Amino acid sequence: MAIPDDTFEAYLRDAVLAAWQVPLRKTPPAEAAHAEHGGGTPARPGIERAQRASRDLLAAHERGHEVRRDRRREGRRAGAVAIELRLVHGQARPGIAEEGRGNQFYAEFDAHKFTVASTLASSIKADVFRARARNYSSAREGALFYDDVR
Amino acid sequence: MNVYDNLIASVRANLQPLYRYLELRRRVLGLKEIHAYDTNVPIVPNIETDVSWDEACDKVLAALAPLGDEYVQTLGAGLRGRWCDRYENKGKRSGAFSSSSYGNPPFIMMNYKRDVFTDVYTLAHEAGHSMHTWHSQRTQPFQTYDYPIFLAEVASTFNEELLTHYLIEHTEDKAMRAYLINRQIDDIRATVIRQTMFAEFEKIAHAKEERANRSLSIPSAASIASCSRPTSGRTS
Repeated sequence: MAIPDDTFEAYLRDAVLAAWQVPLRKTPPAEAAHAEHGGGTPARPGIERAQRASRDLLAAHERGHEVRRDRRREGRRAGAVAIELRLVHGQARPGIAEEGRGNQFYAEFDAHKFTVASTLASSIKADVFRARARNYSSAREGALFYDDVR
Repeated sequence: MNVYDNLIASVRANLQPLYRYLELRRRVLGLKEIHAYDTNVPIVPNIETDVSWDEACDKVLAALAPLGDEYVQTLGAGLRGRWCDRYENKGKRSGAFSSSSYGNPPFIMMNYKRDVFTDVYTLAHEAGHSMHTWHSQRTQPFQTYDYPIFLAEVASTFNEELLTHYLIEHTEDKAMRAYLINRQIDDIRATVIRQTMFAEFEKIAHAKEERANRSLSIPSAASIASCSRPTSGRTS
C-alpha cells in the first residue's frame, strides 16, 4: 500500500530533511516553470510555447480517443499510440484528421539524422577504441565478455 | 560469438511469418500502409482484470513450476518476503527492474496495479532476472557473477513464455485467449525479431569501424541504418 499523503507530508516536515527540500517539485508545472526562471519575472516565451504545445498535444490525444471510441470498440482505446501519432502528425485517415500535412513523424528524424549519426559514430569509435585498448579481438567480443579481462 | 551470429541468421531466415502478421495488422487496422508505430496498437480488445498481488504471485509461481521445486520455493519466499518493492508510491519512479549486489538477495522495483494485467508479466520478467542473479551468486565468484544483457534477457523472457503457456492452458475465456495469443505474437516481434535487428545493426556498424582502420564517417554511420532495414519488413 502507498504511504498515506498525511504520513508522507509528516515525513517531509521533519527537521532532519530541511536541507533536502526542493520547493519546485511540489509546485504545479506552470508555476514551477515561472519560479525556475526567477520567480518575479514572467516565464520565458520558450517555456510558454512548450506548455501550449503540451496542451495542444493533450487536446489532440483527447480528440483521438473520442474518434477512436466511435470507430472501434471501447477496449481498443488502451495503447492507441499509433492513432494519436497519426493525428498529431497529420497521417490520420480521412475522417479523423486532414491529410496532407506531411510525414512529420519521420521528418523529425530526417531533420536530425546527421546529429544522430554523429553521436552514433562517436559512440562506436569509443567502443572500438576501448576494445582495442583492452586487447579484445573486436568490440562485440568486448561487449559480450567484458569480465574476461585481458 | 557463434550464438550471436546464429541468432541473426535464424531470424533473417524466418521473416516470412513476420511479414504475414504485419499484413494482417494492416488489414485489421484498416490502414493503407503500416508504420512502425502502428505495431503498438492492440488488435484484439483489451481485457479487464482484477488480480491482487498474491494472486499474481500464485500465477507466476505455478507457471514457473517446470523450473523445479527449489526455484519456485526460493522465488516464492523472496516475493512474499522482502525482495520486491511492489506498489506505486509518492515520488517513486516508474517502470520496473531487478538489481543486486554480490552476497545479498536480489531486489525488484516495480509498480504493481491489480487492474493492469501486463503487470503480472512484469513480475514474471523481473523474477527471471532475480532468480538468474540468485543462482549466479551461488555458482560464480564476484568477478564473473554479473551477466551481459544479451544473456540476461534469456531468463526474463523465458519466464514470460512459461507464463503465457500456463495462462493459455488455464483459461477457457475466448477474449482472454485472444489477448494472450496476440500478446505472445507481439512479444516475439518486439523481443526476438526487433532486438535481433538492433544486434545486427550494432554488429555491422562496429565491424565497419574496425575494418576501416579510421574513424567512421558521419554519412557512413547514417547509411548503416539501411543495412538492417529488411528485418523490419513492411513497417516503413
